[in-house]
Amino acid sequence: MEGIDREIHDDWRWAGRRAVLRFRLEETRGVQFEAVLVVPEELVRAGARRIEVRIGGRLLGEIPAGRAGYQAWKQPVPEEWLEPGKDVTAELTADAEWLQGNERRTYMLSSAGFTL
Amino acid sequence: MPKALSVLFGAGFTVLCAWALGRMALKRARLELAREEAHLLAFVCGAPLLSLLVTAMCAARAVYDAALLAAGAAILAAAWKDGAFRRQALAPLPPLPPLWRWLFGAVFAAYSAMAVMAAMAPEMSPDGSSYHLGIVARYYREHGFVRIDTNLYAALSQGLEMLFLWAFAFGRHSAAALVHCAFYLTLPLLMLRFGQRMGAPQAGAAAGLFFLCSPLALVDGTSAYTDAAVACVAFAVVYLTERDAPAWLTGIVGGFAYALKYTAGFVVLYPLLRLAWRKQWRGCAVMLAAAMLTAAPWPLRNWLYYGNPAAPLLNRVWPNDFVHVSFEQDYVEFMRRYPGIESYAQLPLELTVRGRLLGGFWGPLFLLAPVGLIALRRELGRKMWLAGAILAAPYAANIGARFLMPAAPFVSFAMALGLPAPALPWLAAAHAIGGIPDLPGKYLGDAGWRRLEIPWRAALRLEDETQWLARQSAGYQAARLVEALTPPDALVLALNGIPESYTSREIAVGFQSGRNERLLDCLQVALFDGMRPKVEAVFRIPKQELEGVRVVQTNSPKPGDAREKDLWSIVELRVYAEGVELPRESGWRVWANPNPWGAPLAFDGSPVTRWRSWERIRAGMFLQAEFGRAEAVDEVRLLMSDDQFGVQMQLQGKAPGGGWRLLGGDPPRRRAAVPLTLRRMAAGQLRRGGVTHLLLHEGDYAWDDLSRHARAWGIREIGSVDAYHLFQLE
Repeated sequence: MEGIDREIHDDWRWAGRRAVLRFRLEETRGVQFEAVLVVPEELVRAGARRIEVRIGGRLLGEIPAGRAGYQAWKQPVPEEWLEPGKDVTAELTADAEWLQGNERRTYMLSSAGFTL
Repeated sequence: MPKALSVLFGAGFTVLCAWALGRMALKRARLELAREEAHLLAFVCGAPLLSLLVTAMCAARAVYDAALLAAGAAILAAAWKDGAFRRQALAPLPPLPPLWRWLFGAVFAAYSAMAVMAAMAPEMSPDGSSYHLGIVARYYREHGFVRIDTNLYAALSQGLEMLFLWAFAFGRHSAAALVHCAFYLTLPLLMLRFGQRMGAPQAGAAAGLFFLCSPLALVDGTSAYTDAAVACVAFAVVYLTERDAPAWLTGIVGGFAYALKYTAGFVVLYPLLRLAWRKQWRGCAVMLAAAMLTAAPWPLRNWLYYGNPAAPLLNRVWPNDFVHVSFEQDYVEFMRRYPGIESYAQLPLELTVRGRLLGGFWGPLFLLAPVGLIALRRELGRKMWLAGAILAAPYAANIGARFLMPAAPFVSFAMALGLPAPALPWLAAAHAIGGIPDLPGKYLGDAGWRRLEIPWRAALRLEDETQWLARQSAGYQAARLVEALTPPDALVLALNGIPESYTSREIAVGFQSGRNERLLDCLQVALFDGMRPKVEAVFRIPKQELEGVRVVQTNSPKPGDAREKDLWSIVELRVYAEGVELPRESGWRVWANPNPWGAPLAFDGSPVTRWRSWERIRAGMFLQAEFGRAEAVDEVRLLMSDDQFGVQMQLQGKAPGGGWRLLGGDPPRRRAAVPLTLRRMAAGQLRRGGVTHLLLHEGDYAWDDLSRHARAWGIREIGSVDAYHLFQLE
């Protein structure tokens, strides 16, 4: 919905400080939220500590961002937060950002979504 | 009839019919036998004939109580008419020295009483209560052979199970165990008589006690296993050979050894070598033909039912979908080196005094086995070592302690011949006392599989059978739970075995056949991240007309390579032109090598089914689709799991009117979205595969996910006992 760069580099895109994605699920039981991303050194130097993950406005957890590198973060989503056939938003909010030229950057997002 | 009596009748009737057939056979063999050996050999020589009769009845689906009773009565009547019950004026064998007469008699009597009580107790041995008698019970319910595709053990030779079936009809589980016990008790007597016959009575008596009193022989020989019977029959083959029995008789008994256990078939080498040494070629031919008579039903049945006469082995030679090659590869490796065995130097102590890693132990006396080499100085000693070596030859393929049982009587004999004669009574007595249940636990600590007690109250059914079994075995309760809560046509998928002979429902244990493995694979695809369809390998090629596409695996990992055990799998193979998928049509011909049976699973549109090689990767494996006409193609996508890092692939195409040619290799891989309904899809696939229920134990790897997300799977718990839970697929 917002906060994700339109340009695709190989298989990732730059994420903004607040990235929002919208999903519709057929199955809501035993589902996990997964985000695969890379935290660049610049974000760490900018003072980042975490990326907050909210599902439907509720805090699911925090992805550690205090160290540069690849992250595959996965967390079970309580069944009652989701409703089959209804839209749900996932919101990823970083606690810092950095400037590349004039562009505001945070981390490189490979994928985010609901999985088993 | 009180249960204890029906047990005794079932076993006694079986042994009596075998003995009667043997008496008639021995009469026709015109073999000069002493009274002491005639009855023993009659039982062992009659057993193959009775087994053959039951095999024929199973093939004719004629196994009914009345038919068995009638057949038994006919055998006994024929034997009566033939004079089998008449006392014969036979010359006795040379007498035993008094010391040995008393020692052997006392120990044999004591161990016989213990063995009969142990065998009469409700059967709870791991293999006996699960597959040996589970399959016998199935044959009994079905009145004969049926193709069982959920249990690879059903494809083993079942010569002894045929005798179990006869006994089971009248006395159920314990009667079958008692039939095995009859062989266990016959063997030491045969060894004794063989010693007397060969001029070594003390060695024969001592060797018989060495075998009889071994903790492993006692527990195995009193369970519904086959090992003691194999040992007894193998010894009888050598006995008959040394007595110059007719080749047809030795052949029938030798072939029966194969019918008891594949590897025991080696015993026919003994008479064969002897006949060949004497250049008795006609005798060789007769013996082999007779051996074929008792051995052949089993490869024939396997060929008809499973397409593999050697099932469940040699599946690369006779490819089939009943047992996967990958299972055989893993199983063979496992059996060659049990968990915990790092070096073969561990074997002597494990086999004799520890027994925890190899499933039982022979007793400390057998640490003296190397002394038996001294017996090589004597002709009899050399013969014993030759027979022992022949029967121990397959041991390297399965190093479990009981797989030495066929060779054990010969090693015992060699030991008795090699040890100083004055020491033999002391050693035999010490071994006999040391083997009484559960004295080994006192001086060896927590040693391996053995009889811990002689449950005489349970044996005589003075204690309730079901309560005793429930106390002894948690799995028994699970079997009763399945019986109580499922319909008669239920198919229950379980991850581990239970004593399935105590339920009439079909239990499909995950690893026990190709069908079960394929069902379990659906479950695991939904369960394990690495097995989910989350990778897409994409071959992009210049647009061209093709009549078919073929994906070839090109990597053959070297032995020891980390990827050596990888299996290749493809969830879906899709063909595209300009981004539009070619619809799969009925004219498509799909094929794979290996596992051509599974090829359609890569074209069924289901993310939980996949074609798998079911064999460790090697160059040349392929999966292909032929379209039946030329189609424009510029892309082939393979939906795959992430558990096959050793796989390297090439794409080949079939040009119109031409052959297969290389189009490209090493496809880039990208992530694919995993459907969130994968669990429910997997359960649906299990249902389509015939599964109605799942039986899980809280220790099973699938327990956590299935119990927590039962609704996502579409399963409902309908009962539990101890740590077992039974789920119904909705």
